[in-house]
Amino acid sequence: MINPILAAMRDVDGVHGSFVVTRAGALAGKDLPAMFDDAVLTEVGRRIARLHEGLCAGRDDFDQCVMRFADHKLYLRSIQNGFLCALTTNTVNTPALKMALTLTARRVDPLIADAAAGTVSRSVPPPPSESPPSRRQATYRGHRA
Amino acid sequence: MSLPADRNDTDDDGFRVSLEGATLPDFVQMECLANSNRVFRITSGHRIGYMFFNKGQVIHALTGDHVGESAALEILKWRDGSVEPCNVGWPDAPTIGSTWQNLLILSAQARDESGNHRLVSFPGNRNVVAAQRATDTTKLAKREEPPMSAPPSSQSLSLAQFQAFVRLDPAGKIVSAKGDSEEFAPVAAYTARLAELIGNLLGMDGFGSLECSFPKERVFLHRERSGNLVAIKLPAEAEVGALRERFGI
Repeated sequence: MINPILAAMRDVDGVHGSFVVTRAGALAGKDLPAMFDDAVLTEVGRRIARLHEGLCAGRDDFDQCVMRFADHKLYLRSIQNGFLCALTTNTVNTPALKMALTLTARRVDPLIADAAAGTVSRSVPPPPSESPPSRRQATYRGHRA
Repeated sequence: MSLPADRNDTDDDGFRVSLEGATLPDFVQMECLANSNRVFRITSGHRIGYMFFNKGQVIHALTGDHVGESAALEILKWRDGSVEPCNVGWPDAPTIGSTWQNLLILSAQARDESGNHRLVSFPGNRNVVAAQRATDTTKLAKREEPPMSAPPSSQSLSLAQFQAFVRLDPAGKIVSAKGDSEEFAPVAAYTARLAELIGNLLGMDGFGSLECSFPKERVFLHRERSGNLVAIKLPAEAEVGALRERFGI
């Protein structure tokens, strides 16, 4: 559900793709080239959660955070259920990107909790168990099997 | 505006001079009129400061407690000590926007207002300083070479507007600070480290800067070429165009 919504972010020139993580850092959705696999984004998500925790210690939640690297930027938009993250070039059209983040965040936010459950179940192999899989684990690529 | 990363302009040519009775304003005036491109260490008692001259302007200054214009004004208050050229890392961008003339005027005014006016100029330069004081200081407040991409209002950002400022060396030691650095420095260092790790995971090397917007304030982090980390906290309503431009955000 989330991934097609995220695809709209690429309408803005300079956006490579985007992903969504929950407040706890779990990956909830992505629209990025295949080189960014779920395991990497899960690690990134955990660090984003920690970064948020560190920056917001003792104060209000942040609205937006931008990190500039040598050739790229990473935008984090804080939303109620997580963070919408956009990977861009350094020359991205900032006002257009902010508008896209606002619109996408609005649509993505209500879907985060369910999507995160589905994504986690497919990106992290379940521990070996003899018990029958739960209904929530019976998903394939975000869709109920 | 870019600056050379490192300069060794301490020429071997010329005289080594020791002047008794000269003041720091005299010295600044001489260096600026000579279009100096050098860094000087100023020592006064237990205090140490640095002044960076580029193309005849004071573009950066540093003391234990201040950076930029406030540091330059603090140094200019010192009444005795020694000055020597040195080689230290240049800032990524100038931190002083005022002309040297304006700095001297502000320094002189500060001394006047403190009731301890003992500014002594070289005889030949007294008239110059007097004439400059008579000039409307607002006209001298900024250099007449602003970056074309920055609106004039964004250049008025000064250290006074910062709620907190801290510069950390690569080992995390505080180089200079203003405000509540004890609380701010760990947050800045940890956040920068996480940003670097996030960048590495995503294949994006070279963490440069970070801006974080809160409802009531903004936080900027910037990794200087020297490896030092600069962290700034300022009110949400502050004009930050100049900072964004400097930090490439």
